Amino acid sequence: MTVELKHPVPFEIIEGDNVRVASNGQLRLTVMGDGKVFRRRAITGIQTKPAAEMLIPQLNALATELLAQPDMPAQDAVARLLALAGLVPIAEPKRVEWVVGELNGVRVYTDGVNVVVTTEDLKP
Amino acid sequence: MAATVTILEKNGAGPTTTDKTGGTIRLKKADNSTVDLNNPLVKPPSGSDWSFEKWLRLNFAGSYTQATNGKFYTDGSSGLGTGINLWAKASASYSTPAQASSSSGYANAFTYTSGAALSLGAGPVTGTGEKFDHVVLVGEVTNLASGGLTPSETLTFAWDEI
Repeated sequence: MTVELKHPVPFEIIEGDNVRVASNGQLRLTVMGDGKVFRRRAITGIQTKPAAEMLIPQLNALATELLAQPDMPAQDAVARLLALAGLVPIAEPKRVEWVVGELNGVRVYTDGVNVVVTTEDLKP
Repeated sequence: MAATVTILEKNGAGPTTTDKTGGTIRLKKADNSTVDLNNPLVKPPSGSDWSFEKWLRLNFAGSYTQATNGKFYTDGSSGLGTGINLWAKASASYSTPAQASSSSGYANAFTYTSGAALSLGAGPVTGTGEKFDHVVLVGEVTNLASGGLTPSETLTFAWDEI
C-alpha cells in the first residue's frame, strides 16, 4: 500500500562525534568533520483567490454569451468552460523541506530527490 | 524533530490572530482577516487608494532546537497590472493595523526575490510562539489601474532550522 503524504516529510537531524546525519526516511545525508547540517524550510504560495470569486464573473459573462448565442458550437462552449477551469489555482500552499550540508563553504542542498552542490545560498 | 510552522495574520489592538497558512490574505480597507468583497480598494479619479496594513508573522509550534535566517520574498513578477502595487516591509514590533497613506518606509514587494529576500531577522530564535519579524503588506490602487481579473501571487516565507 502506498500512502501519499500531503506535504513532504521534514528531515530529522542527529549529531554525533564529528558527524551529522539528516534523514527523511528515504534519503540520508551525512556530513563528517567540521561541517554543519540544517533544514531550509519554506511555505510558499499563500496568496490565492477564492475559487468563487474567480469564477462567478466569468461564468456570468459566459452565460450572457450563451443566451445571446444559443447556437454556439458545442466545442466552443466546452473550450470556454475548460478555459475557466484554468483560471482557478488548485495547488495548495506548498511546504518546502530541504536539508543543507555545509563543509568548507561548499553546500549540498537536497529535497530528497534532487541534489545540488554549490557555494551559493539557494532558497526554495 | 522539526517545528510545525504556520503563518498568522494579526488584526486589531489585541491582536486577534488567524492562521492563513492555507488561506487567502485579502488586502482591503478594513482591519480584519475576512476574505470578502467588503471594503474594497477602488480606483480613484486621481492619486491612490490605499489598503490597511496586513501584518503577517511566522508561528512556531512543536519541538525544534533553533531557527535562523527568517526571510520573505515573492516570485519577483507582479501580475497585478498597471497601477496596482504591493508594498512590503519588516517590523519587529506589532502595532494595530492602520490604513496606509503612502509607501514611505516600504519597498515594492516584488523586488524581494529568493536572491534578494526581505530579512525577518537572523535569529537564532527558540521556543514556541510567534518568531522573527512581522511582514507588513500594503496594497495601492492608483488612478492608472485597469479593471479585470488579477492573478494570484506567490509569496514565500523561508527559514533555516535545526
